[in-house]
Amino acid sequence: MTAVPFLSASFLGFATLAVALNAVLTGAARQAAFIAVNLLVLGFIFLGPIGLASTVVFALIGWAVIQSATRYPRLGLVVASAAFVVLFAWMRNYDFVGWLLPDTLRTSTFATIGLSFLLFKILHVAIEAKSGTLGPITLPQYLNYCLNFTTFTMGPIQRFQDYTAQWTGSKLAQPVSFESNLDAVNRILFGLVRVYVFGALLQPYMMTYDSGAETADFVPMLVQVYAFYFFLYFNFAGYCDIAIGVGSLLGVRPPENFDKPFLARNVSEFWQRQHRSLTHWLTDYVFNPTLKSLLSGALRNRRIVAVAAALSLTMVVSGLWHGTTAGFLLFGLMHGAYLVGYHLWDTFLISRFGRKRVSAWRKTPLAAAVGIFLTFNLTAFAFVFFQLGASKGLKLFANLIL
Amino acid sequence: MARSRGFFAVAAVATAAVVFAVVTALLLAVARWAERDFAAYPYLAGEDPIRVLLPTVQKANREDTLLLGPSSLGEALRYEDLQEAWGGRVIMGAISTATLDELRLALDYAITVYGADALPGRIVLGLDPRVVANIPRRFGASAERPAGYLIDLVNDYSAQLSVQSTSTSSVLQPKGPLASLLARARFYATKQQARIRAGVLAAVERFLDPDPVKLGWQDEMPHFQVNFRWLSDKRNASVLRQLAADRGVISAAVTWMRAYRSPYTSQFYKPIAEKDVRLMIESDWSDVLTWTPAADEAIVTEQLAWIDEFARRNGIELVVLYLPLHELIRAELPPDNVEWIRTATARYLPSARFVESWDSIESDAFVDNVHVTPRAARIVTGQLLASVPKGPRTRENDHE
Repeated sequence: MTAVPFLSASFLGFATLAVALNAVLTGAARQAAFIAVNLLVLGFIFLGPIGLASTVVFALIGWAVIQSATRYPRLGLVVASAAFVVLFAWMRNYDFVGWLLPDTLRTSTFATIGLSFLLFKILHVAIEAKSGTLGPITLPQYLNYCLNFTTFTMGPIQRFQDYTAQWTGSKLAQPVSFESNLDAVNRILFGLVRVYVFGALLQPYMMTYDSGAETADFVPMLVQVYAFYFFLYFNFAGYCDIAIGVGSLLGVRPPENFDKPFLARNVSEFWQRQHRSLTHWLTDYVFNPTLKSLLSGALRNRRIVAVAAALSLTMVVSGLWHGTTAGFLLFGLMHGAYLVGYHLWDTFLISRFGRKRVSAWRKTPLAAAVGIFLTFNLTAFAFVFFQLGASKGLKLFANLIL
Repeated sequence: MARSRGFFAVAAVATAAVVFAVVTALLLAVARWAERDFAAYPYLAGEDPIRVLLPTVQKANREDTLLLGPSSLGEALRYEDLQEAWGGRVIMGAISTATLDELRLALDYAITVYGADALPGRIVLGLDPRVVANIPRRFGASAERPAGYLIDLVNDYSAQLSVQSTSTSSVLQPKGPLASLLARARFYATKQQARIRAGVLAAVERFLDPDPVKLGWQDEMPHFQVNFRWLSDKRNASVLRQLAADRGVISAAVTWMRAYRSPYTSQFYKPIAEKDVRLMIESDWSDVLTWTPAADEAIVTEQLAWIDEFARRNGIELVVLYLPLHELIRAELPPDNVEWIRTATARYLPSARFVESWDSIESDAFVDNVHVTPRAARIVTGQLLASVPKGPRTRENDHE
């Protein structure tokens, strides 16, 4: 996980400054002040000068991609987006870049913090701009959306329409009252507690690359795997609380991103509870178009295969979005396999017993408990690749099974 | 609409800031009480020089004693035992990897900021060859300068003074109003958590066990593999679980809190293996073992003479404690250097009394290359008390 210094005096100071400027300024001055604060936070706290420069250049290239998508509707989006994703892969220095380029052409100079979120935000704007659903977009508005410091490093991925509607005041981030703003402050406090108390307490017990989980006995290994699961949850959900709290005070509240994922009864529900803004993005821009394309083409009469293929591709994209190594690819493949398995099982049950009976059975406490237990363990063990990488992750599973 | 929304947001942030300030002020009041009346020592494990900036820790009376030296002094002397024997307050002023220049600067800071009235009646100066040789620590931003760490802390956090330094000396000078304001803000914004933690734990400890100075409690502490203050470390968690099982939860909690707010850290570590001691000596003492006294004679003697003059001018009894040295270090120290240090300290600290603990502790009573176990601390404290049985001279308490 990225260590984002949300508890630092500088972050809290900049956030307070942003809230104060947002309160006293209007129109172009408000927009300009928010750009300035975003650049300051990114430059001083998150990225440093070189990182800030490369990120701004990346965002400006994204702006060009959006212009291409709107001006050349037939091929502009596809060609520009593909080139943009290639640029992203090169900047993030994915492992597979080494298969295609000599080492002299690879780079680790550029900032990679927040780049994945930035890529998905820009692609979202490009796709929606091409379809004409966004209306006119100004460069300052776009830059503030992309570089918004509250969601820059760890999301949630806010939709441009939602962000703009809140920024212009046509949609309220929260009720206009002292109490709701105090709730936002409490939300920040709650997030800080999740990150710096619960997360920090779990950190020593969780699996890390060097914690030896792959060779540990069953119980110590299990403790490490579970501890990492909850650490990840507290850390990430806590950061999202802070982003949502600060965003609410600024009048641009990001969407909720977590809903007790450890209580999910199946893997499909897990992704509706875990990193929800990513799930929605992947559903809209990877799963749905892929499924539609497959069902209108080669797999027209084979819906199950088409769904399985679309789910697998979606989860592979998810895995590669999360990280640059083979471990993240395996993480994605594993979740793809889970979702395909669940889909097949679900289809089988419904065809065999009927939707009503299956639905009634799933509501029983026993079925819920079994579902939660299985889902919790399946998803917890998928994070093994997330944290240990491919080689050690496979070793852990070999140690577990053999 | 936008203006009123912003107004409520600012009001909410301001309310949070006020609540935070009030709660922090209350907790700081507890911390100050614990530092002043209950010997709570914040800033540990590397940050201990910040204590120099705290009047509640640093300000003394004539019947008090200041223990001044490197962290090994802090671990080798049990201030509670000394306090019991000498009467006044015994202030632990050990500074991690301190150099002679750093100790001199600490005294200069104390008199400049707190005044001559706030000086103790006695200073126990802990010396070893590393201190005398002014070998700077090898980590941090100021790795190059002998008093680097303290200089940085004074420059960053002191409201009153800054330090002008060269590679060999450091001079205190008043801070301008803006620099003072920034330093104060920095200190209050970033350096109070450690005080509050120690203070609140001291208050809870006092509530559970009203005896503020429990002699010999160190002997009851178990061995920790890492800093026992890190509760979240699983190795510590298992030691504390065992402690709670052996003595009950309340007693274990009191023991841990007493240790937490105390100035001790290393003495509760599990002693490391000899091969690791050798590695530490190679890393931390190589510069000392190859040090040539003649090259630094001028600066070292000047610093010693400054300390002696400081003590005499302010009517402070000076006691020099030659700190215990690990057998492996003693074996490698050039005998001429040892002799040079003895001669120089005797010549340039003429008003001092000397207590010899240099070779008094066996290797198995060291936790690492310089810090000793609680058992050895009892021995060294006993040696000091044997040589200096009574508290500092005061008008009311004249030894004669």
